[in-house]
Amino acid sequence: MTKNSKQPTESLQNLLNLLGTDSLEAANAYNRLRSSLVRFFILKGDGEAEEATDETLDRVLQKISDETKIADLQKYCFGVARFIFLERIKRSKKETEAVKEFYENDLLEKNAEENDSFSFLRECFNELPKAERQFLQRYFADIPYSELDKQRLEITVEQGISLNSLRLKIFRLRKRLNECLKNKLE
Amino acid sequence: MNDDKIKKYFLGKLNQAENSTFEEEFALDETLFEQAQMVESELIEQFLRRNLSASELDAFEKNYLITEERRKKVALAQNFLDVFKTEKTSEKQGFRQALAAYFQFSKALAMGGLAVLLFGIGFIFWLNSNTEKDFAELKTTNSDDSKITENRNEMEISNQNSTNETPQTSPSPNENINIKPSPTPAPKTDVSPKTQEQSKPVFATFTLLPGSLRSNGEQSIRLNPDTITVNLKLSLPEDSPKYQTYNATIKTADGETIATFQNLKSPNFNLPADKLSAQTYIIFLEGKTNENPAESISEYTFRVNRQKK
Repeated sequence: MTKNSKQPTESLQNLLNLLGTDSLEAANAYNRLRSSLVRFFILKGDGEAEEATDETLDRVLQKISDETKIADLQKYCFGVARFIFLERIKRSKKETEAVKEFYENDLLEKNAEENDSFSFLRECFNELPKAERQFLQRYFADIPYSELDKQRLEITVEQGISLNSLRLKIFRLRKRLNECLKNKLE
Repeated sequence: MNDDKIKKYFLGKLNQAENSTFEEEFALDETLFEQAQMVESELIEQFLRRNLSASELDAFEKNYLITEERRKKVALAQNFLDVFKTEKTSEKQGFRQALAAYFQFSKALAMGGLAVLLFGIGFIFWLNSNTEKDFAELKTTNSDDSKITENRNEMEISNQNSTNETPQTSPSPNENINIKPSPTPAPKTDVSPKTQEQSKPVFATFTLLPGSLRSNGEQSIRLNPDTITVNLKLSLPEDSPKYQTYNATIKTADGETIATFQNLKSPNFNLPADKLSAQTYIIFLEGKTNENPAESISEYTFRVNRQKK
């Protein structure tokens, strides 16, 4: 069930047994657990959340095959995920160095990718319907933050929606743009 | 869930127990997860708009920018905000272009109308050239013709005006700098990015226009001492063909190479601000297609002014 998993089938079965009494229930629980772990790694800012999740589940399977007693599987998985995240971050650059590089040389190396992003993002933006483009432009207007807050409140009044609904609407629009960008970059 | 707590999570201000509970809760619940992502993107926007307090900024740098993915998110968000800076202008241009197109169409319509009218006049003249009454009618029509000609001239003038209003030099000028090369000597332009108004700016974005503008007033950029990264966007000449990749070389006026960028997908790049001192620089931009080797596109001369602390 995990990519590149080398764990014996037996330990996978043991994991499924811990997740549910019948196979369908166990499979659903497994998928929920997997999705939660992916979200966990996204929150942590891991760019390869799927891969990190596979690594976590492989480690959990390993523990199960070692016959480690696991009282709360979900908590245990998050614990392993935390550990995996720390390992992964150590494997990449040291944090302070990475931040420094973010501002300095590292940026030079990433220019090609960033430039692509900008051009494609513009394309994606221009592909949106005019009303959505204008809506985004108004929400993200290049004006001081204090004025922007007022402008955003005005939008809520005009549209008859709460500020939270407006924020969510904007967030989902941005998500669509990000997905469009991802497709163009692939 | 309180947005403030989510913000604290991303800034690393929750204690270990709170942090663990938060992560599990938000990872397990899709709605909470979406809320967290929303607050995260708003936090990034606040960072880029320099709207974080000093302690928040410090926490953001130390605790948020710790992974590659998050740094990418910030860079992407910067691009996202830049799109609105440039799109704002291109929408205006779009309107002007539409206006110009309208007048172009009206002019064509008037010209067509005139041709039809002249043909009609000729036809009437041919039919009725022998009668005085008909000749009188022809005179009336001729006076209408002159009115139309006057109207056409007005349209031509309107068209010219609208064309003059359309920015000729930059397809997407950035409001922060807005430097235009002018056929007549322009006053020296010195532009500061918005960042200088703030306590701790990070990025400064400039759009440079092609050409050696010394005779027309030099384009210049002003850097705040706290600026760390400079993003330079090079506007392509209007007649420039589309290239697959670009190479840019930044040199001092003395010919010393400061940085080179190869295989850029578009003509813009980031540069550490400390690479730029208060002097004149020239950027040599080349374009490449899959079929052809690199060829020179344009040079961009600009002066860096550094604001004192």
